[in-house]
Order: sequence, then structure tokens, then C-alpha cells
Amino acid sequence: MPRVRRSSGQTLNLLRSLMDEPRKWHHGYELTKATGLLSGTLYPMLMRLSDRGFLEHKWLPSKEAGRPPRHVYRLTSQGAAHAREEFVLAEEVGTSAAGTVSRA
Amino acid sequence: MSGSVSAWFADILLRLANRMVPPERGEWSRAMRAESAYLPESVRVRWALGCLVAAIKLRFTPMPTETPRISRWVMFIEAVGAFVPLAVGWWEVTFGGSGVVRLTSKNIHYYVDYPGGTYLLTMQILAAVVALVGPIGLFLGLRYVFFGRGLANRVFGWVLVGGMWTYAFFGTIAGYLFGPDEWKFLWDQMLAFNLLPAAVVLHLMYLGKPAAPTPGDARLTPA
Repeated sequence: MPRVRRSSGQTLNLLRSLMDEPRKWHHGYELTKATGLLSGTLYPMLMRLSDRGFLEHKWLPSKEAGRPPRHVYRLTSQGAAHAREEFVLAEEVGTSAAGTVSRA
Repeated sequence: MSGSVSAWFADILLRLANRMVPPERGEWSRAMRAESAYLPESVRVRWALGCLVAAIKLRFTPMPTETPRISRWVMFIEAVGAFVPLAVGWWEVTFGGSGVVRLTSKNIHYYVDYPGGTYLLTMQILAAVVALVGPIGLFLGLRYVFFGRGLANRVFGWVLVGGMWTYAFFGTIAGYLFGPDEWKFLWDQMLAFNLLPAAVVLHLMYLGKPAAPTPGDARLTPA
């Protein structure tokens, strides 16, 4: 039987933050504050989500002069569906998003 | 840490992270660096340290195993691991306490009078020549790391590899025929001081062949 890969608690936290306002573009610092993740954990997770087609990203020009464009993120429709599925699975095993689930 | 110092340090860390990230992840590296421009001063260094951790994870996670055409950072580890022990061994058999340059007629006689001593002496003298692959290989490996040049001279490469293999093969046979009674074939030493360095010389010869560089090489090649 194929092993079902489950999202980690950290990934669930991130998915939850992204799902709070699913159509809004989020930037990295905002996500670190919302999830409590450090940049060294957050960005590899964002990359994995993007690789799986769950996350879209783009460069957003800065409104302030002299600042570089900012990389922003939001879930794709596939990513949102995946997030909802993961939340249900997490609830089924009685684990909150902040808890630890078997590592993805 | 004052603001300007922390900003400078964060920038150094971010530059380092940017260099370490595999080229296919370059956009993400730029994203992390760009984001740092929006951070409060107090969290910038911690952010940059996180970016460095992410870069290290990215560098080592997708280590390419399907091609021997590797990035220079990987060659640095390979060259140091393969050639430093051999170079140290070469120094020891040549200049060490009982090294070849310290041989006198007295201790040569001591060797020759000992059962199997002639074999040991011969092997040591030959090792002082053959183990030159250690320092030479280290030089060639670091040359690849810093200048992206493999070993293009195939004759020289085969001399290095052939010398080591010949030494190992005939040395092993001669050890059984003429070596001291307690002589043993040591697989671990054979692996560390012969097979592994020879494999890295072959690798450097492969890297010396003209071929389209990998994205990693291209990124690291000086303009």
C-alpha cells in the first residue's frame, strides 16, 4: 500500500496562514511573523509547495523608491484544495495545525 | 551590534547564501535577499542567518548524482577528502622521522637485515614517488575549485592513476612473496590511499574534457 505523505505541523501552520486570506499575496516576512517560522525553514517549505503546484509567486514592484521588488506568494486553487484536505486529515487524527504530525 | 555593522554582516551572509544556492533556485535566493530590504534592522541578521541555512539545505538536498560533472564546491570536498590524507602520507614517508630523505647507510642496513625489510624499504622509497599524487592531486583539485580547470592532459592523468594502480597491484603481490611474515593486505589503506585518490584523478580528467558546463559551473565561472 503506498505510504500517504502527510504535511508537518509547520507546513500546516504555513498553509493555514496562507488560507487566512487565500486571494491575498503574502510576503516572506509576513509569513514568518504569522507562523513563527524562521526564514531558513520558511523558504524551503515555500519552494516545496511551489514545486508541487500548490503555490504561485510573483515579483511585486515596490511602492517605495529605492527598494527592490518583493517576492509574494499565494496558494493556487490546487494548493487551497490540498490545504483543506490536510486540515481535515489533521483534525481526524486530533492534531491541531500547531502540533506535530508525521513529517512530510 | 550597531545598525551599520549588523546591516553589513547581514549583507555578507546574504551574499554567501546567494552563492551557495543552486542556480535553478536563484529566484528564491533573490527573493530572500530582496525581502531583507523590508525588514526592521533588529531582525535582519537573524533573517540572513536563516537564508544561509536555507541555502545550505538547498545546496546539499538535491545533490546531483546522475552526472559526474559537479559544482566546484563538491570538488573541494572531494579533493580535500581524497588527497589531503595521501599528501600527509607522502610528507611522512619522505620527510618524516624515518622518511626517505633521512635514510642513512646504517638504517638501510637495519632494514635489509630484517626479514622482509628490503621489501618494506623498496615500498617506502616507491611510495615517496607514487604518493606525490597527493600534493599534485590537491593542487589539481583546488585548481578546479578556483579556476574551473580539470585535468586536460590525459597522459599525465594516466601516469598518475597508472602509477598508483601499479604500485598497489605489484606491491600487494610482492608483499605476499617478499614481505615480512606479518605483512597484511589492508583494504582500508588501499581504499584511502590508492583507490579513492585514483578515482578523483579520473574524475578530474573527466572534468578536463571540453563539454558544456553545468548550470552550477556556469554560475561559478568567472566572467
